Amino acid sequence: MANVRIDAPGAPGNEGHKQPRNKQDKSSARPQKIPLHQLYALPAPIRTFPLPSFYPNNPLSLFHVLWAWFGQVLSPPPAEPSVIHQGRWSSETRSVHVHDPISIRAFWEQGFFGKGSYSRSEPNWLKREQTRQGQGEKKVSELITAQRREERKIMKWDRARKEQEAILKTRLAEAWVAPVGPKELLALPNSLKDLQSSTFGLTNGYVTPNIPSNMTILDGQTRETLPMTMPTTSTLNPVVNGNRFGEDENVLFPSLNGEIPSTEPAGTTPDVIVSTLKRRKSVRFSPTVESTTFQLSDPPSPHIKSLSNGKVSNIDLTNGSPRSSQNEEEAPIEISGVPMVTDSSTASLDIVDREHLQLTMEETFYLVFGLGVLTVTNPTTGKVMAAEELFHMFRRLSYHSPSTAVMRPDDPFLVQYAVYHHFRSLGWVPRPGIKFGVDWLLYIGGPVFAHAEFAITILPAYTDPYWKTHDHESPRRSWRWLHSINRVQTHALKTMVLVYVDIPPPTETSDPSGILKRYKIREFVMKRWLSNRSRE
Amino acid sequence: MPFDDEDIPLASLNAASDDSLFEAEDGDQAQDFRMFTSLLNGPGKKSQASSKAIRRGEKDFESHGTRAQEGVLESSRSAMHEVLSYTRQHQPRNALCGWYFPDRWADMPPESESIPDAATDKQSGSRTAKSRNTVQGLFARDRVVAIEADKSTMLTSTGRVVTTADKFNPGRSKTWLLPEEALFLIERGTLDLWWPVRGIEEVFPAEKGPEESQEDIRKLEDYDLGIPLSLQAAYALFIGKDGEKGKISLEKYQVYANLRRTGYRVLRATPLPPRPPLPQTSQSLWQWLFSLIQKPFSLHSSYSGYGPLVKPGLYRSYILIFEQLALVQRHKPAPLPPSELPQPQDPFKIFFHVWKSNSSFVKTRPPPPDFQMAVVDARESSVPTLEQLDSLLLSTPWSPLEKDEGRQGAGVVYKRLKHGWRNAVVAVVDRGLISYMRFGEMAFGEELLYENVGVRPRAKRGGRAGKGRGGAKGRGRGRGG
Repeated sequence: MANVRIDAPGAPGNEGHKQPRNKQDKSSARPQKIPLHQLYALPAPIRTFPLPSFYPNNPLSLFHVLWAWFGQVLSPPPAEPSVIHQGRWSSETRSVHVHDPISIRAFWEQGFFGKGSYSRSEPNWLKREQTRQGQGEKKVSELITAQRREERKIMKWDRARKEQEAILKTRLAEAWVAPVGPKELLALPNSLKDLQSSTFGLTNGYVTPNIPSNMTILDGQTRETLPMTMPTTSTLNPVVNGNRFGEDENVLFPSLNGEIPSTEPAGTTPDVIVSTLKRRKSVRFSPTVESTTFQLSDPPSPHIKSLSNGKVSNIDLTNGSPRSSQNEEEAPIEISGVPMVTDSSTASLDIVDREHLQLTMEETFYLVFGLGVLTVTNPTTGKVMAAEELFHMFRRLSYHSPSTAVMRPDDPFLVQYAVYHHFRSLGWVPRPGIKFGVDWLLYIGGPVFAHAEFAITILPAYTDPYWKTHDHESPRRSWRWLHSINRVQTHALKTMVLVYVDIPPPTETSDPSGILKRYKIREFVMKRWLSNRSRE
Repeated sequence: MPFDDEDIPLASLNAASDDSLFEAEDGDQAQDFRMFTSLLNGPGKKSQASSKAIRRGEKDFESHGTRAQEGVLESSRSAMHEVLSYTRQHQPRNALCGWYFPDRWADMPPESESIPDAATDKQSGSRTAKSRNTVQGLFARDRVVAIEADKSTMLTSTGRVVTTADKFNPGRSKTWLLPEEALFLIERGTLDLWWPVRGIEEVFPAEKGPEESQEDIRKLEDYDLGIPLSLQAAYALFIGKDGEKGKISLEKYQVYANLRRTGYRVLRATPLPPRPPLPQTSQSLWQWLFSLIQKPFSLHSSYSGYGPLVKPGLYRSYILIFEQLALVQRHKPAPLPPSELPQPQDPFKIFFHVWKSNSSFVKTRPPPPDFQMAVVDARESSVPTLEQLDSLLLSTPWSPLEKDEGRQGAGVVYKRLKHGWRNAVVAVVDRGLISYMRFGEMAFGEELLYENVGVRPRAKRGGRAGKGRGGAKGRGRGRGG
């Protein structure tokens, strides 16, 4: 979600990004850069005051410990949670909105709660907007993702071009037949017959208007029959080899042999020829065979298509070797928000941050009921909603017809919240997994550090004798359903976890802690077993 | 391929065969027949056949008119023709001849009763004596085909001699096959199935001397003793419903045949040997320890029912905070004594024990199986309920990953959780298509992340320590989120 990968240094980006990055590298001192593990050090929006550790081999550290302890005894820090954030219930979106920027940062950085209303996950709309208006270059995950996609597309084009080149090369290599008979020898490009009947130059099967001046150059050449690999032929007709265009700045890709548009002014002056002579070896092919095997309309050629592709066209790839797959690998995840404090203060004067943080019902209830760091106000009455009120409202809202619903121990909110609370209380960071077709994704540490490893699908279970006597059927899920979810998870390299929530019988207890204590959670890992991979 | 936006970079495909990164992808690889021809041509090269040798290459999606491509295609095609035109020969001496005697062992006790169960020792003295007499894993009741010679290499993991019968019983020294074993051998062309016209005493005359009896058979006319059966007849005889004596359901046979063809050794699952029950003291000690752990929780649980669970105050570490948040019951995996094991119900019940091909194997005393497998029909059954899955996994052996306390990184946590504490493979058969699913018992409650200092990255570039998955190279558009 908020995972972004920093580019490998030196990776060819498109030019718009290249320029500022170089500038950054030069100035390279970015003083306010906070390391990730410091920025996201707190696993919950509650601070702790650990005593400094005591080293037995260093007696002075004892004084350090005592000093800190006395300091905390004499002037105790405020009881945690010292800051209680404010949120507002929004019944339209069924979520809680947090508008205070400090609270937004606190919830995101200390436990990764909520989602920016205009962002993918981390609330960074303001930074994106500033970047869009040219007020400084900021690393925002969405922008980096877009840039990475662009680079990946270029890489694919480049790879496709390489493949096409390889194919073309083999095709040309195969097309060349050693001229042995007298007729073939006569038909050679530099042969007498060719010169006499010369209407076309030595293009690789393409029509280039032949120029007498060109011919005079050719005339000077020896008439040996040249195999295509011989470098001496490079002097033959450099223009048609197209190397001249390789150094052109506006060219998209290094042109292939013979891919010269015939609109090119054919009157190439000798000095151009001389200049190209030095640069590259070229090859020469028999024109008759060439024309039968290679057509300009041959599919598919990246050159043709890329002309219409405005995004790719301004990228100079001639010196950029195809980016190896290493650029695509899981680079260490760099958070988007690292340089956020750097230069936003002056630039953002004219942009108002219109983004708010939205918390799901489970996150809200965990923050209110579990940690006690959030109060939710009802916008209609303006009053603070207590945990009890929230609990009943959330349970009621999870039914299709909230007004008439009868509270059941397996209502969707309770089941979801039991799982959410279970994993939160173990130290995991659950985030909604709707994009992966599951209920929750489990992050270790948080989404800025590593990808989610586990994808959780919740199934209610009715093992209690109460449900047997009341003839409650467990919901039947088909194997196809399970396989389809599992297929998505394997494609995204997640581990699929089936979580069964053992539903207790209905009870008179109405307080959430009393209710939640009765739920039991079982996890099962699930993976396809491949018979031809597990044999040895 | 290069124009396909959804493709996986080629480097990852090549890496896949090395570190099985893509093991979750389709198991069905395209066959490279050129590998097979090299196997066929050199008779001594058989050992080269491995899953690593036959790997996928790059695919061409269109012909690009080069002779190189045509050459590759043509050579592959001719290799396929060569492989397919290979004449399989059955040496007369290797041919097995099996006789169908469905009722020969009908009076033997079913396998479930033949377990010498020390824990539930309620039977009378004679009953225990008889059950001791039986051999575990024999399934004598279901053995319906007797084969004459037992020299074949196929029999290293197939068939059993019914040793528990009386000494001079006819057919006692023969190898008897289960229906799936017989059907697999018939399909393979190794076995000829015969329908006996006469009784077993005449087909297998009581043991006098091997040469003598052989000559007796020779003397008889070809079809005096019985008639040969077709493959269709064999299917009709051996495929039946679950639990029918001497038959096997089609799904189970399909799984069996698939595993055998893939190179595994498969036997019907025997109930596990009973574990010595845990000494009573350790149980109480365990409970005592557990009660000690429970106590601090109960101290903290004096909050009001509506929270917040975390009491306001001064905290020295997050451990205290998270301990107050513990509310929902967590699962604690533990080995169970066999007397407490639930009886799994069909179809979520271990039916096959599967061994890898390279483990040393004695069919009368097999090593602990590598995989425990249950077979379900994809259309008749649904995703297991908690009880079904729990009892299925409880019937498999307790096999947690050995704890390595020294390493606490995220990768180790992932590995422990993914391995699970018990595991089983469920073969989901959908009209002949088999999808194997491995289920493992997890316990996130065993991994208290908030106590584990190693999982939160400390280094400058976060996440490195927590990676733990090598070979992430070229993952491409792999994982979001």
